Amino acid sequence: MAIEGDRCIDAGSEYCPCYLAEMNNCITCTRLKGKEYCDCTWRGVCIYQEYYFLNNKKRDIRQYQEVSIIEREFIGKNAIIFTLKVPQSLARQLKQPGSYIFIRNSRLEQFFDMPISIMYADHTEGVIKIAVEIHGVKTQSIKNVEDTLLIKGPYWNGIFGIEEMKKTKNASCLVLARGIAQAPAVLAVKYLMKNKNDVKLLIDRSTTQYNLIQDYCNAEILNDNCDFYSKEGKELLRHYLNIGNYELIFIGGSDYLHQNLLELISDKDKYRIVLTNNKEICCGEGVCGACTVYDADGIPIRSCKTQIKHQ
Amino acid sequence: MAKIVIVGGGWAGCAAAIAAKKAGGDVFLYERTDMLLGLGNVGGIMRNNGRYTAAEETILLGANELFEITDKCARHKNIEFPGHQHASLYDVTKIEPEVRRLLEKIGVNVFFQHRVVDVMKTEQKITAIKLHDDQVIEGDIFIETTGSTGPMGNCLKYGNGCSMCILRCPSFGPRVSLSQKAGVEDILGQRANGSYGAFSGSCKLNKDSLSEEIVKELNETGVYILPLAKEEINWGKLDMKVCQQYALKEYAENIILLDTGHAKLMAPFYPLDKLRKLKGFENARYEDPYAGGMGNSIRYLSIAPRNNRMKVDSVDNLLCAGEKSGLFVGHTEAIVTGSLAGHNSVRLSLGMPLLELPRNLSTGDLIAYANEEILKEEGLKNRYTFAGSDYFKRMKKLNLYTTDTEALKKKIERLNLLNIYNEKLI
Repeated sequence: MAIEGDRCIDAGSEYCPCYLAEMNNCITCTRLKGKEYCDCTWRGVCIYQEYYFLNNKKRDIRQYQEVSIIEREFIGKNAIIFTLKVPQSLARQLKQPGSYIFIRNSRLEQFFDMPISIMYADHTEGVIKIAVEIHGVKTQSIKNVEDTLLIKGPYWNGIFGIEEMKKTKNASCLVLARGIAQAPAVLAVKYLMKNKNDVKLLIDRSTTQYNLIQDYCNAEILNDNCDFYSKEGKELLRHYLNIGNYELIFIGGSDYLHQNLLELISDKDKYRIVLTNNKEICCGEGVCGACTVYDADGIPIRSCKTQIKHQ
Repeated sequence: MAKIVIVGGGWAGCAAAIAAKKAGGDVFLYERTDMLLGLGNVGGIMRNNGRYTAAEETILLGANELFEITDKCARHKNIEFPGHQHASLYDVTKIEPEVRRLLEKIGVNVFFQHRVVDVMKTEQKITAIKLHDDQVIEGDIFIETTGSTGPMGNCLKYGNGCSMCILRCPSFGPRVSLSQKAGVEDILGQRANGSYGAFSGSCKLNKDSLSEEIVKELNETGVYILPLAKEEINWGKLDMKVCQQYALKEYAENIILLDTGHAKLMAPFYPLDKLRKLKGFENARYEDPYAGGMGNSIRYLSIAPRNNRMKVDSVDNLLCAGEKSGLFVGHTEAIVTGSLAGHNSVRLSLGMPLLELPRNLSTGDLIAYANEEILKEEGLKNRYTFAGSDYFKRMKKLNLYTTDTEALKKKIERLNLLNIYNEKLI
């Protein structure tokens, strides 16, 4: 799949311009990329001008904060839902689909930071919920944390195709979510429903062995226990694609799952495709390079901040 | 039928659309904002000096429609102001809907708030353009009339930042140079000191914010001149402005206002506190650009190399007009180049030889002369307009300047070009 991307999710936000502008690597602005001409597609107040108004400096970056764990709920074999008390302003910033934060055990070093999708955000109470599947060294490190977590956010690039999603109104949408990727699907489903879309769900519980979505939204679940990799699961998906007149398809799961399911969709151009971002996100600021993918011309794209399109 | 796609709905784009339509093209015009005419919405000066000749030539060639509208919407006709004769000033508050209705009437397909961001190319040919929302628009021939002004980064780099002009980049998105996207490097104009671009040369004051005396004189005569005290004179401003035809000493020594519906202040910008110290300007406020006290839009940053038939070099099916096609100043210049590009788009689609205006017409000579000069370093610092500066001198020297329409008609008849733009080619 060819990739293209030049839309920075942070452009125009209170975190723009960022370090990348200071270091002549802005994703959006050619002038802040060291070029001698304007050639951006950014529609809004010019990032170069913002930078100039800040006396050629970046804006303040996101800060770590230690927040209380209100509740820990173990689900299935190895997943935990953390309910965290956060400032109301942060909860408000995390309501958009694709929102994520970095979390870590406050007793450990920065390289234990892990990006986790927001599943639920209530800005009136200042509460957010995240679901973490215990897998490797980073997630193991918070398994037994009961009191506080160190968090940093908000970040927003957890979903590719956010603009497509925002455009979708009064339409039929099919949401496919597997395992822990049900968590980012929750905000997406809520957003789609808010825009009066008819949302249908197919859930593969996978190793979480749990239907997370039903607890947080009341979209119609066509099947809550398929196996997307099995022949039957694929048949089921084909069946629903044939009978439904969908405008948008959301796939929550690994890149491998995306690839498998997209292969089943014969006429991809017909649909708006929204995918979870599964790249290895490490700093979230476009600096470290862990999340780098390459477009057709071999140009590196920092996928932690850039909306990318698979063609 | 040939599908002609025009990008940019300023004077040049509108003129191209009309000429292409009359020649038999199926015309699609894409405009980034919600209005046609671009900077023409804040301009207004027509028929001054050599522009009179150019307008009459173009009418005789068959592109009469837009001049009929500017004449019809004139608030003042045949007026004089320093360095300029027989000018007419169209009402900027009336002109755009007139042009919009005309394009609608003749069947041009106009799309507003459709910003073109890229081109798709096969070898030397553009196959389609891409809109901001990824829509792909195919076409046979493309005409770029995106101008050379902005976007905000340029206005900051080479000016005093976004001054909130009529182009409204923050709202409608930045101008994109399609020729550059097609792999043709832009040419940049320079100021006398060698820096790039130039400030737009005038700002518009809200007439209601000026004293009754000024408004009365403007309404009656079209012009108001207020001499400045010595310490208020800023000679430096003459060098920075686009409109070299107005870069005369009178424009530094006086405040010169023209009545175009707004009060057109013939200076690129003027600090509001200084302006308000002048008699009758105590309550002055800007209409365009909104921050006219601080700066103005920056132009001439994106010129495509082209031949005298308006075809862009190295791309088989791309034409250009207006400021995109040279260091031109003014609506007349945009209409002249736009009409030629529009007419030639249909010729190009049919494989016919393209029309080149002969150099014994002022319009043909300007197009060719600007193209010669742009290759010279000093030439990049000049602007080319029928209305003044070096080119008007040249017009007079070459006997190209005349207000005798009958004589022009005879000449154009002799050249066998009378009403050529009215010929339906398909």
